[in-house]
Amino acid sequence: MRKIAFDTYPSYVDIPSSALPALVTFVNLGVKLDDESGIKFLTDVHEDEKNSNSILLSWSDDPADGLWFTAKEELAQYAGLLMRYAQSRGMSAAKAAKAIYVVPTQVGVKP
Amino acid sequence: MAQLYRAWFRAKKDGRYIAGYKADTADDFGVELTDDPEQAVSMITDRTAAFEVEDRLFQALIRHPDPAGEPLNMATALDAFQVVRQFFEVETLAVPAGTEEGREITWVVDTAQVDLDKFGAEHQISRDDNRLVDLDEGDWAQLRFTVLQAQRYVDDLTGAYYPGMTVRHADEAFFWALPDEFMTWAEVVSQLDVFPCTVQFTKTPDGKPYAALQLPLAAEEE
Repeated sequence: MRKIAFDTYPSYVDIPSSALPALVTFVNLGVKLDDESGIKFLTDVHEDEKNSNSILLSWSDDPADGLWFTAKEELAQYAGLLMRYAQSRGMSAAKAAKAIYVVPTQVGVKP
Repeated sequence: MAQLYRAWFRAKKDGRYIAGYKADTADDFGVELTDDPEQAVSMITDRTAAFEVEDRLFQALIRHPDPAGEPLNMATALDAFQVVRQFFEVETLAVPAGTEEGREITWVVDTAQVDLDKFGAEHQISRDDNRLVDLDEGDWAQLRFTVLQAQRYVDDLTGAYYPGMTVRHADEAFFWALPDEFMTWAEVVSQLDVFPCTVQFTKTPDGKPYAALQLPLAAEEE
């Protein structure tokens, strides 16, 4: 079975059917804010129904509950989102960049 | 099939073979010698370039410490390599077809460039003789390292896999064994091509341990 490197395709859905089944690496993404005791992991991103200009982020203390990512490009997009979130909570840009964490969780199969 | 060769280190002075090494401290190094090539550290390889055979044979040697000795640190290993080069030379003999694997031989096969030891493992290093992230010690969840490499290793006593990592400490590289809770983590992170990077050991509010990577990827977004 082919192993898909983390930087091969932009996202999980972009892996072509010709490459399947394939082994992919799953990671979770989190942020550590100054005023919180631990890293919190992103579990969902959705639009705010009351305000179309904002989005709502959901969190978990456990990386196993987090949104999973299998591609570097997609991960970078969400990491950028979390950096902006950290800045909105009072962090400088440099500090926010260091507040983003990734936890590798498993190697799985995309059938 | 490629012609295979078996290689040993032999003393330039008296022709004896290196059987292992002993280090009384992490900064000390001395070799143990034998007259019997079957008791010596040897390696079977299809390589013919002298420097390549010498380098790989030395790697096989440093996987054969005296059980009572200390593991080598990185700086000592580099010095030890120079000592071995000065006083020993590599002897190679063609391996007859059909030869069976002998005592703790490191195999280097075809173009894959992997060392396979007696457990069939690529990375063999003693678990007990190394620094350990110990979950029974109160401060483990504050440990933070610049990790150079992390993956699964093989305990040379039991042959069992265990997770481990090499970390930067001042100008040296230190090896740390990790508890079994990090087995999957070590296996997955070795696939990611993210090192070196900072790794924070921590736990969830209900006490489940995990290790989080602070990625250069995030810094590039700035």
